[in-house]
Amino acid sequence: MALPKSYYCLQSQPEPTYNQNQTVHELSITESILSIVLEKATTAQASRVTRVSLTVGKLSGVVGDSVEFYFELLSRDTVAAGAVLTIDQPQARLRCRDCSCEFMPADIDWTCPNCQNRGVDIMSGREFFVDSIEVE
Amino acid sequence: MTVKVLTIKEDILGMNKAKAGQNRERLHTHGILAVNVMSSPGSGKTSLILRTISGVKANSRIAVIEGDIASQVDADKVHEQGVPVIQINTGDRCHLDANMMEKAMDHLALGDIDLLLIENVGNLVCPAEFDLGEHRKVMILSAPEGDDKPYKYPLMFTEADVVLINKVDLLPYLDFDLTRFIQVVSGLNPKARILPISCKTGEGLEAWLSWLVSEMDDKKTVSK
Repeated sequence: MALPKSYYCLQSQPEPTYNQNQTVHELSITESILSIVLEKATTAQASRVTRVSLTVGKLSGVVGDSVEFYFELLSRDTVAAGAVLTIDQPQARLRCRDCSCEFMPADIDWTCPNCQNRGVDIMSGREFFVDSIEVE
Repeated sequence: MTVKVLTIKEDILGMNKAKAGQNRERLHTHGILAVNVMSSPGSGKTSLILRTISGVKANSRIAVIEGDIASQVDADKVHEQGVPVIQINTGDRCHLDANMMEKAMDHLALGDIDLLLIENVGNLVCPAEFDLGEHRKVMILSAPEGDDKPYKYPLMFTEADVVLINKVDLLPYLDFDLTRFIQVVSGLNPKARILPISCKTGEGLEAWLSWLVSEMDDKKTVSK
């Protein structure tokens, strides 16, 4: 369709040099992970990154397998190529706002097992960070 | 070779959050209220934006950022309303991020805007995780999608400032339990304002528009 001249259409271009047609969340996330890893490795004057440890909570909406897949793809030709990815996945832990009972929800049911209240705060499960890296 | 372990503890979305903070500051300088509209595909984001434009354009200057994987069909509809619009085609991304938002803002005359509506990519999962620099998050759930969605996508419901239940004109034909839905959402997110609306019939839109206008007034007061 021809664009009306009076507005812009920005095409978001992925920067790294891969050329596959994916529509997933984990791609841009893995780019962020790799950029943190490479920055730290450069600062430490490392010649190679051998391990990357991530903490990815179960509620973070990020699929570990996809991150591994993209990491392998994106880290080619970098000092992090071949690094082992370790992913710690903390479980969702909720706290009832009424009775303060803490519980691990069974899948999608977030009802308090103690008082059946549905008002809960998320105590853990949303963690999403690069924990550490091993370098040579 | 010695192996060294470097402790990092760095937020993976940190760069996005930092950029979003800059965007928010820039919007704030201009007294603009930015609202990120999120929902599944087909829940009524574009319809809500069109209704909102006709509801507030007499008194406010509006601009729209349209996020879609591909196409400009939504931007065309907004453009027909005579409102500045920027289309972002995300290509391989399932959500907008702060970087795309910044680029879109570069193409808008920020000094001439009171309200910036951002239509995110249709998706109930990751748009909630990516801060754009908006001031308010609004999510739409349309009644045909079912009242069980808060269980399946709790984060989106936890993050939203306003939850709009769209297509309530269809409730007589659906098994959607409105009372139960409102209970569950307020349980997850006691601060959320929950408003039943129909972009088709106009039902409930007054409450939405008056919330929006009062938010815009607050923004102007604090910015100046």
